Amino acid sequence: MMMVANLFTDIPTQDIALRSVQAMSGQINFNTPANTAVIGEIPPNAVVIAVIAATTTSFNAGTNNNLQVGQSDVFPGGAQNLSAYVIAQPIGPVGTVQAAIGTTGVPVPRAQAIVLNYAQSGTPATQGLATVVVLFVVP
Amino acid sequence: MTTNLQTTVPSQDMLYGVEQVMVGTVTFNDTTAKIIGGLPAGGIVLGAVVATGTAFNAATTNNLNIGQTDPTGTVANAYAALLAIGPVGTIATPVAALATNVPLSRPTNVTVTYVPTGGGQNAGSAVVVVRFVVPR
Repeated sequence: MMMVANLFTDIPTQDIALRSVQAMSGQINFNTPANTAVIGEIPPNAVVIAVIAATTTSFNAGTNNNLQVGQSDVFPGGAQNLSAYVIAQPIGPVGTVQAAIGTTGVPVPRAQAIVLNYAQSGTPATQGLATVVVLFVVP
Repeated sequence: MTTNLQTTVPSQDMLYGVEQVMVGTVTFNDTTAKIIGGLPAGGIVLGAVVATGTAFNAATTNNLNIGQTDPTGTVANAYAALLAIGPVGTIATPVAALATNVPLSRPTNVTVTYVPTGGGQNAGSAVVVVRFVVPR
């Protein structure tokens, strides 16, 4: 019996093509390995219009408990900016916050994976969980 | 007669991975929490827009709370606390940086409550739009 390689190696871009504000979401934990939390992929030219983080278990690193939201091109060797959309949004306490979109959070003519990162400093965190929502539109 | 078996507010979720809205009205008579819809488990409230069509006229302040209630708990101002809605016009409130504004692991009902002070209110009506997403 011949085995067939899995050809589905990419995250499909998300677009319902209904000209609506779409949402992509995922969770970030205090011990999620750095820059590994890919929550989805936006299509070429998509505009990220808001990032919201809902912390349900407080993050307890000693000094800073920040969220970074960035992009990684989906083709090998592509560009990567892991804080393209959000540079350092504090997410320590329980509650929901809306992050400011950074000046590097601009549309690009290629699909991009959206990546979350928990950036901490001081005494390492032992707890923390947040759900992150990325709102975007596709022109 | 058949007993009505629909005794709870159904959660609203169109399952398309988009921002959704819940819409209801609040009047000067709604000084106790009024349910405007059901939020699914895990739903995240992003903010609200309030369009006052008839001015609220309590003597001192005319505010709105937006919150949640279900058999497990009630927080009348979970999503917006004392939002000033007196004059005719439309205001948008961003994500409420409140410790109570967190996704719940259970469905809940979204409520609006008119909170006047000073007394004398006999007019006031607004449409409340609550923006939310349901992670999946």
